[in-house]
Amino acid sequence: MQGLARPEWADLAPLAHNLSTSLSSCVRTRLLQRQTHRPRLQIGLFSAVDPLTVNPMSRLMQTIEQSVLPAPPATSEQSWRQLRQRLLRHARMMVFEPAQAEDLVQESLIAVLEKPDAHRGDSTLVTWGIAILKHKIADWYRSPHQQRRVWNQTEEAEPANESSDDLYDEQGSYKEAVPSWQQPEKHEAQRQMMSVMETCLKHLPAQTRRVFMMREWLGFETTEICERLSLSADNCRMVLHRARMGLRSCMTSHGHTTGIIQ
Amino acid sequence: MNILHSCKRAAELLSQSLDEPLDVVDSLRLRMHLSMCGNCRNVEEQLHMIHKVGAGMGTLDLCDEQLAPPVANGNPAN
Repeated sequence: MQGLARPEWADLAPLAHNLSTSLSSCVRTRLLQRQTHRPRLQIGLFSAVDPLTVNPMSRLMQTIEQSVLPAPPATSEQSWRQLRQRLLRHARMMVFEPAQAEDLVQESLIAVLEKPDAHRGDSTLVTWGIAILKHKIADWYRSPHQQRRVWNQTEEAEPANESSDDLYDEQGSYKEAVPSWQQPEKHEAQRQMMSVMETCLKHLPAQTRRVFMMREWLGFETTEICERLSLSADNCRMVLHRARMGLRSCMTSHGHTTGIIQ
Repeated sequence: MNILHSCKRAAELLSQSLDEPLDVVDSLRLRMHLSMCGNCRNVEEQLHMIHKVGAGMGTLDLCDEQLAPPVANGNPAN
């Protein structure tokens, strides 16, 4: 705490206090971890450097690190890593190059750390991290040079979802009865459904998946998707329909059924 | 032309209806079909659920994650 008495840091102290109280436990414990790894040493280093060259953010971090008393739960580092992993998993579903996905995740994580005040109320750290990532990805998709990388005609020779045509007989009726799904009322059931859906998304052809995610996850209007990917409206509808029906069959086969056939 | 859609066509319209309003005739025929076809009602419900879950993907608590039973192919690297 003695570091707070330094004149150049004194003005940061109230802010740091606010931050440290409003930071979620995940972030805070992450900071505590950093403190235990390289505690006072860095303070010494920083004071040896011209204070003006020190990024205000890292100074803020230093102050927080000092003002929070250590009592890190064992999960802290893990929560942070899990958040990163989770964001990365989503980014990779949407973005081709792993390096680009990494960058977007990195930017999102920085945003999580930079604006702890925005993280309030009911939203958990993850919800908030995901929301930021969504914005970053949406911006990236909207950047003009991305169009051709999202959709390229030759890649669409990907095998069409083989099961979709086997579903129907010549009259276009379902060959087999469609089992109903359990309503995921409990939190646990919803979470499980989400993870099944994530798994099933990976089984879709990559381009189909991206179009689906643009629509359902990022919430783009279909007109915008068609325009950005230079697809006809019919083509767009077909891709989305195929994605949804593919997911539906996959999720059904992953046991999201009551076993009751209506 | 049959007054009712086939189930195949009904599924296409169900998907389309999640993205844009259907025209009056399609919408009417679809509703008639649904009123008579349990399979398509199940499909409708499932597509709606996918729509809903899709928008909220990734937002359930991270801290629950390690309690989750392993999902087939759940490796984040894939």
